[in-house]
Amino acid sequence: MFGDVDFKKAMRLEYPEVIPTTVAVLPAMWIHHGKEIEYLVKQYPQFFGENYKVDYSDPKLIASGTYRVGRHVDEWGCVWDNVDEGMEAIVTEHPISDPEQVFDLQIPQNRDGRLPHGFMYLRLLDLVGFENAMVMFAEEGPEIETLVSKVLEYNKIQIESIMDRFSEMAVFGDDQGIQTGLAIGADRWRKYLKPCYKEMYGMIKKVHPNTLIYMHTDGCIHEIMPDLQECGVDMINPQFRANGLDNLVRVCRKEHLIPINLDLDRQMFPFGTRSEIFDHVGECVEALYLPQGGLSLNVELNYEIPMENCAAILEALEKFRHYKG
Amino acid sequence: MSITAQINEMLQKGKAKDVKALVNQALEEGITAKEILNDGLISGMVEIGDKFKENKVYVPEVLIAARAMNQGVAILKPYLTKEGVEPVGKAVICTVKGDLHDIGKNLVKMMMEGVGIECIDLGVDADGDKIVAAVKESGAKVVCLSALLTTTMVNQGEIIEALKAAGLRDKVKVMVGGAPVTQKFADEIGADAYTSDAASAAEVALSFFKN
Repeated sequence: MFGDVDFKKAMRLEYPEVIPTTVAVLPAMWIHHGKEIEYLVKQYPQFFGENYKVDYSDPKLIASGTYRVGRHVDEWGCVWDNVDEGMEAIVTEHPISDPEQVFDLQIPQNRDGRLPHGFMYLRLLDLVGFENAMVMFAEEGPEIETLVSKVLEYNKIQIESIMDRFSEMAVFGDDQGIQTGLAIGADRWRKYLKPCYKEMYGMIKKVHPNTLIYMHTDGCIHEIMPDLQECGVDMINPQFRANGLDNLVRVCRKEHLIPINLDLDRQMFPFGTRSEIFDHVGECVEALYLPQGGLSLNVELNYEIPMENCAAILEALEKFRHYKG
Repeated sequence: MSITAQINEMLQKGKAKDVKALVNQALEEGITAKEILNDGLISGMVEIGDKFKENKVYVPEVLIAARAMNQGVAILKPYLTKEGVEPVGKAVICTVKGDLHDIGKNLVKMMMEGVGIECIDLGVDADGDKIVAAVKESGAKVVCLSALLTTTMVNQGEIIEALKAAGLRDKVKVMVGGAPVTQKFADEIGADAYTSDAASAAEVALSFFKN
């Protein structure tokens, strides 16, 4: 399970007993198939814990915040829309319509340590919109520098506000990639974003040298995985499909040793057969397993995955988490 | 270097002001709007699309090139009308029902417009009825359906069924794309094409209009 003893051993390369697994049941799954998924969850306490229980009698009890249908406005003034209860919303209105306005942008006043998914790179896009952000990156003028520095300033204040609360692990999420790579390219990412992550994670490591930094990022990011490690990330959560197993093996095993919590093929799970699911999990484990760790397996169960496939996924995880090479 | 080659070069650099000035200069020199469009602007966008596919340039470069193209086209529009130049073809484009993600769809649209295709953009969360109505109204020959989520990609299939039910399936080519979509899935739902990136989508759409 996320953050358990074996998970931390895998992050630290300290020879976990088994390959750790992290299984998330998305709120939408509970809303659509509460009874069926509850039955499955009970079969696998090794993945969910003995006392894991969800009251799915009312969607309000399961989905909160931006996972609820409707419009939401966050601390920066970004407007989120959700049309599917229990699924994550998306930013549809941006507080800045003209790049010139970044110079007047005020950082939010909350000092609660909230650094939600998309706290740095995606925040730039959410504030000005994807196309404006890309144009600003192309022009490399004071607008993009100002925007990056304001978001970084806020994030550092947020980290500082909860500095005494960091313990064994700090978890961050921010999607750096699109389907085929980084939208802005690796060189531009290294110029503008890498120093930000290095500074933020460095702040935590300076005060808490033993705190493990875990970072989730969707998209094709294999190019910058060594950079993220250099920024202080102890384990990256990359996607199988977007990166490709060959690239992950090359970057995380042959060229570098980078611990990963591999996001198994969520695009295949709704459509695959039982044997395809077993083959997929087995192939990933065989390719990435190291006796000292550095590997965890991550699965998200959502409502579009047939229940028999959910069962096959959990069975496959149970089988391959004992893999010893 | 010819003036259309200069337009091509400036467009690829995203220099909108230079593109505008060169387009005006080319018109003054008596070059036809069609020639300026094809040999300067569109050829520039095709080259930038190829570079994007090869990871030689990235989205920012594509965006500023597209912006320069739009400014050049705005100058040419009255001349193109006068010369009787029609768009290569019309395409309806959208993100499917239940899905609000539009980055991929917008990139495809930009690339398609870059090769001279007129796009009728239905935005996000578009259902079969809306698409059928847009095809009927515009006479579009290509329909491009984007989906980012495994929960919504199945709606691409439902839209194809809606086109069938409306008697339009044989009149349009349906293209699908998005992170979870594969060639296998495209075949299963009866789409005519799947492409994995925006530049390839524009190429394939163009081939549908040319054949």
